[in-house]
Amino acid sequence: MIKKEKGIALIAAIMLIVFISTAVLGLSVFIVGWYKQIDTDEREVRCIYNAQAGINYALYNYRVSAALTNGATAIDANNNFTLSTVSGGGGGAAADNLTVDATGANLNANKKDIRGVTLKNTSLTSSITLSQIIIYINTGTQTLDEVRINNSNVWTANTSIGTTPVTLNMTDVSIPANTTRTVNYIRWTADVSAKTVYWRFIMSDGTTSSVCTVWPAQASPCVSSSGSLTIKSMGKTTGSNQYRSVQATYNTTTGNVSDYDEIFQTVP
Amino acid sequence: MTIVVVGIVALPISITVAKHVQSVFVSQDYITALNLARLEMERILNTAYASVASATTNNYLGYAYNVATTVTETVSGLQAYKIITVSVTKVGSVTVLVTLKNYMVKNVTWGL
Repeated sequence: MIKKEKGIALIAAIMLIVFISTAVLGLSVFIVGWYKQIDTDEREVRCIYNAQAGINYALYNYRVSAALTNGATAIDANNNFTLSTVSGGGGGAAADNLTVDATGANLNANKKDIRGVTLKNTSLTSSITLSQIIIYINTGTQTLDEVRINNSNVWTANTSIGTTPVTLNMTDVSIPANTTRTVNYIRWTADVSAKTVYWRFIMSDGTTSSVCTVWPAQASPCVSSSGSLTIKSMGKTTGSNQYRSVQATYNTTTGNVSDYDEIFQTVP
Repeated sequence: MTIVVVGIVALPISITVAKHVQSVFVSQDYITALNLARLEMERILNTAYASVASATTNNYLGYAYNVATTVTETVSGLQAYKIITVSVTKVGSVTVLVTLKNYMVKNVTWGL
C-alpha cells in the first residue's frame, strides 16, 4: 500500500504549484489593469488642465494682439493643447468682427499725423467693408485733413471735428477674412498730441462698431461691444490618444469668461 | 525531489508576490500624489493672479508628500500669463510622482 502511494507528495506539490501560479497570474493581470487605470486617471487630469491652459493661452494672445490662436501648441515635452478660436459670437454682424488696435499709435514729427493704428477683421470666413467713419475728440475743435488706409486716401476733405461725433463718407475699405489693414495716418491740420481722438465705423451691412480711442495709444485693442470669442481647447498628453476638451465664451469688452464647459469632442 | 521542485518554483513566485505587495503601496503613492496635486492646482486657480507665486510645502496637509509649485510669467506690455507647474514627491525622495501644468492669464475674470 505504502509502495503504491510513493510519489504522491510530488504530484500534490505540482498541483499546488499550478494552483498558486494560476492565482499569481490572475493577481498579476489584476495589478497591471489597476496600474493602467491609475495611468489613465492621471492622464485625464493632465488633459483637462492642458485644455484649460490652452484657453488661457488663447485669451492672452487675443489680449496682446487681437490674434485668434488656432492649432496645436506644446506646453512641454509631455503636454500639449490644440485650439480653435472663433470671433463674432455676438451675432456675426460685420462690426462684431472689427478690431481697432491703437496699442502702437504714435505721432509724426509735426504731431499732426496719428500713425500705427491697425484695423483687423477677426472673422475667419467673411470679409467686412467699412463705409463711413464717425469721429470726434475730447475737447475743443480740430480740423481733420485726410485719412489714409491701406495706402489709399479714403477721405480727404477738411472738416472741423469737435466733441460731437461727425459722420464722414469714406471710400469703402474692404478687409478680407482674418486680415489686418494699416491706417497709414489720420492727418490733422494742427498738433493733435494734447487731444484724445475717438472713432467708430459704419459697416456696409449697416452695423456700427464700438467707439475706439485711436489717440493716445491704448493698452489693449478695441473690439465691438457685442464681440465675443468662442474658444475650444483640447488637452492631450504625449504617448496617448486620450484627450479632454473645454469650451469658453469670452466677452471681449468686459474681459470676462461667461461660459466654461467641458465638451466631449476633439478640436478642431 | 519534491523539495527541489517546490524550491525552484517557489522562488520566482515568492518574488512576484513580494512585488505585488510592494506595488499596492506604490499605487497608493501615485493616487495620493495625484489628488494632492489636483488640490494644490485648484487652490492656485482660485487665487488672485498677483498672489500666484512659486512655493514648496513639505508634508502637504499633514501627508507624507512634498508639493512644489513653480510659477514663471510671460509679459507683453500690460498683458501677461503665468505658467504653473505643480509637482509632488514623497517625503525623503526626489522622484517626482505627479506633475500638473496649467496657465493663468492676467486681467481676465471667470464666471457669470
